Amino acid sequence: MMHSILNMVDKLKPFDRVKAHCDIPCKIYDPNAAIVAAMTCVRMMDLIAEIDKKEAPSLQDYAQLARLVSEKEVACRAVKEEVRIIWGDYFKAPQFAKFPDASELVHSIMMQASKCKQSIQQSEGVDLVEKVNLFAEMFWQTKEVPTYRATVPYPPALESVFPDLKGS
Amino acid sequence: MSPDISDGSFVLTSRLFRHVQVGHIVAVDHEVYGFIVKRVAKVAPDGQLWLEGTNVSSLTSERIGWVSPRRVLGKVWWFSRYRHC
Repeated sequence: MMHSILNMVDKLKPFDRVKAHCDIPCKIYDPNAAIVAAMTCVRMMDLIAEIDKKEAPSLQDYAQLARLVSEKEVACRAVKEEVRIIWGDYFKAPQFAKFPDASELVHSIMMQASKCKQSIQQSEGVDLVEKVNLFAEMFWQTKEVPTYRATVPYPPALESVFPDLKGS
Repeated sequence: MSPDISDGSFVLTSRLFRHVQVGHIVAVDHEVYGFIVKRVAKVAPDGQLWLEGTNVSSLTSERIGWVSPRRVLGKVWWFSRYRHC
């Protein structure tokens, strides 16, 4: 209400502008980095499961396990960071008006990424990929860019959302 | 300053204040960055202000540097929660 009134006043007699977010506003946003990070998380879970199947894991396996867990942590953090940047920097009133549930979805991604840090269950990772896919679809829709889903040609061979840029 | 103040918000400022205190949000005319709005993190004994953003990817306090109280345009006393409309 108050915002709308000020908006009208601003159009008649513009107020001074103050900048609040002062990093370089590069406007380069792409949820693909978040999807790749989520896929990485699933891949790490799969590789951890392979070690789990071994009857007598060697010291080399334990060393590999430590690396996989570490990389899983990094990937989960990357999902959070990438999604948070798009949500915090790119999403503004028009995008929130179009997708009122955006914040809820982002929060659920944060929670799911935390779950994936704690878990080695592949299903948790697959859920994370799906949530990030939904976020990607939402993101591209705010830009009026159509999307399609396709299975990525590398492990873990899950569905990923891609922007269909040929028509735009 | 997101998520506190998101881009496109209106901020109403007032010059009617006695002292700028830690936690206040102020609009300042920065010598490098122009008109910016930031939160006061520290106030030096001589009144110089150390400002900070609330977003993780904000311009860092170190890059903003100490700001003279003379550069304060006003203390923010209201801002519109633009993204919740």
